[in-house]
Amino acid sequence: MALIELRNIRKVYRQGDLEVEVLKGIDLTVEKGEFISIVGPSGSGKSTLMYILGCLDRPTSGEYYLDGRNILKLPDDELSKLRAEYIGFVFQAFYLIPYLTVLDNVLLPVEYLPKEERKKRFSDKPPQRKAVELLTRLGLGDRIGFKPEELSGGQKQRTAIARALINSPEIILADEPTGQLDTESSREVMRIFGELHSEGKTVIVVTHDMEIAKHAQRIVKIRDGRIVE
Amino acid sequence: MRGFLLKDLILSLLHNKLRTLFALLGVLFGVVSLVLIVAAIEGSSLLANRVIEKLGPDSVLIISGSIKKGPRSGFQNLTLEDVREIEKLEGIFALTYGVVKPMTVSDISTSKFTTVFGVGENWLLSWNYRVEKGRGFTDSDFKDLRKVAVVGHDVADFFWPGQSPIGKIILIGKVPFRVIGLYAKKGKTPNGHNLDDRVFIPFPVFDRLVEKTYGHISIIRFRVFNMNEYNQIVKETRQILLKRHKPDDFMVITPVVVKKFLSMLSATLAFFLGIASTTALVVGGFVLSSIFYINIYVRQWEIGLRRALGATKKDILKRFLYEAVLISLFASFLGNILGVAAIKFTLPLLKIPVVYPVKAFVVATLFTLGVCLFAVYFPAKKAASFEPVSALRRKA
Repeated sequence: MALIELRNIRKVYRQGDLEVEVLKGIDLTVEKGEFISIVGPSGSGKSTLMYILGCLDRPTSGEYYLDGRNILKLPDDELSKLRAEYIGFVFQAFYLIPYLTVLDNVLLPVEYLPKEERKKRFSDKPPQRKAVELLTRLGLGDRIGFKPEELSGGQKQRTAIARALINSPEIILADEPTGQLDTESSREVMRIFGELHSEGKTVIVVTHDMEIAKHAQRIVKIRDGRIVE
Repeated sequence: MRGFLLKDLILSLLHNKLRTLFALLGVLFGVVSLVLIVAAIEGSSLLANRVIEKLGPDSVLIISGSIKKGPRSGFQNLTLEDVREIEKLEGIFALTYGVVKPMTVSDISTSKFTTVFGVGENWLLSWNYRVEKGRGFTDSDFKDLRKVAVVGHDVADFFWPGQSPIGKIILIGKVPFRVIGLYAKKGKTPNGHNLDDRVFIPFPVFDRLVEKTYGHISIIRFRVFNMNEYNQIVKETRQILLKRHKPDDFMVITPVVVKKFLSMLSATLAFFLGIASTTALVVGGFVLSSIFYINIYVRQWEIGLRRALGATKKDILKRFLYEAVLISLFASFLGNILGVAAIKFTLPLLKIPVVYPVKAFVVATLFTLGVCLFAVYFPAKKAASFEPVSALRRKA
C-alpha cells in the first residue's frame, strides 16, 4: 500500500449561512520516497490539502490512509502522535520560537514525541548530538546558540528544516517554503529537499510558484479544489 | 528532557516580560495580605495565651465596674466586707485586694506621674512581684498603719538614679512615705501597661492618708487550689457578691472569659483581613486570567506550531498551567519576603505580638497556587481548544 492515499477528499467551510467547498473530491496517492509538489494559485485549496495531508485538519468527507491507517477514525491525541512520528513541517513564515536558540528550536519536536518512540529514534544518538549534526550539515554549525532574530531568512528556513528532520519523520511537508526567501536561498532550500529525497525521504512541497515546483519529481496541479493534472 | 521543558517555560516567561511582571504584581498583594492575616491570627492567639499566663490560669479576678470602663476609672464598688466573705470559701488561696489610683508622686526636687496601688496583705505574693532589694510588707505595716512603700524600677530610677531607693522618702499626695522595697523588673503587660512604673502602699494607709475610700476597693483576686472546683468556686463567689451588689457593679474575670473576649477580637480581625486578602487574591486571579487570555491570542501561532509538531491539547493545557505554577511560585516567594516585612511593621501597630508562623507562608503559597491554577485554567483550556490550522494562520 502507498504511504499516503487520499480518496474523494472533500472539505467544506461554513461561514455563517454560506458553505464554501474548498476541496471537491481529491484523489491522490503518494508513494514512500516520492518528491512531489502541489501547485496551484492562491484560493485553489492547496493549503487546505496540505493541512489535511499533515493531519492538522480533517476532511469533511472522504478517506485518508496514512501508512495504511485510516486517520479519519483517529481521535485528536492519536493525530498529534502521528504528526510527531510521521511528519516534519516546514512553513512559509518559518515559525521559529523567538525566545529559544536555534538549537532549542530544532530540539522542540523531540518534546512532543511519545516516550517509546523517543527511546527508539534516539537510541544511537542523543537528540542534542543529532540536532548539532543536522545544523552543521545545513550550514548552521556556527549559529546553534543564536536567536532566530539574528538569522537571515535562508538561515531561518534551514533551521526550520532541521527542526522538521530531528524526529526522523517519514514525510517532509513544506508549505510555500520559499515564499519569504530570495532566489538564492530558495534554490538552496529546494536543493536540500532534493537531497533529502535522494536519501529516501518523502517530500511534499506546496507552492504557487511553478519554478519551485519543477524541482520535484512529480507535479500535481490543483485548481478550484480539484486536481487538474 | 525534563530540563528542556523548564527552560522552554522560563525563557517564555522572560520573553514576555511585561506580561509576567503584571501577572506577578497582580498576585503579589494577595500573597502578602494572606501571610499577614495568618500571622495576625496566630499572633493574637499568642497574645490571648500570654494574657492568660499573666493572669494565672488558676486565678479569679473581680473588678469594679463594667468591662467598658475598667478598674482604672476609679470605680470602687467592692468592699473589704466582700473580701472577708470570700475569705470564708473553701479551696482558695492568695486572696488579696486593692485600689488603683493614677497620680503624681514627688520627692523634694521633682515629681512623676505614676500609678499608686493601695493593696491588701498578699498582693505582692499573689501577683508574683519578687522583692529584689529591701523587704515586702509585714502584718505590722498594716496594723500600725506604717507609711511605707514598695516601688518598681522605673520609679526608683527616676527619683534616685544609680542609688538604692531603700530608706528614701517620697511624697504621695502630701504624705511622706519611706521606701522599704524594690521589686524585680516585670516588663509590660500584653496590653502595654508598664508593670515597673508602680508604687504599692498598704491599703489601710491609702484609705486613711491618700484618699478616703471608706473601705471601698476596686480589685479582688484569689487563686484556686483544685481546678476541678474552679467553676463551682466562681459561681459561689458571684453569689456572695450579688448579695450586696447589682450585677453591673462588678465583673468576675476568669481566663475563660478573657479567652472568649480575645478570640472574639481576633475573629473580627480575621474576618476583615480575610475579606481584604480574599479580595486581593480574587482580583489578582482576574488580572492573571485576562493577561493569559490576551497572551494566548498573541501567541496563537506558537500554539498552532506546537500542535503541528505533535503537541496534544493536553500538552498545551499543561504548558499554560505550568506557566501559572511558575508565576505563582515566584509571586509566593516574593510575597513571603514582603510578608515578613509586612508582619514586622503592621502587627506592632495592631498591638499584636510579632510572629512569623511557618503556617502563614505555607497557607499563602498553597492558596496562591490554587488561585493561579484556577485563574489560568480557563484561558489554558481555550488555548488548548484552538484549531491548529487557524491558529497557524495568525502569524504576527
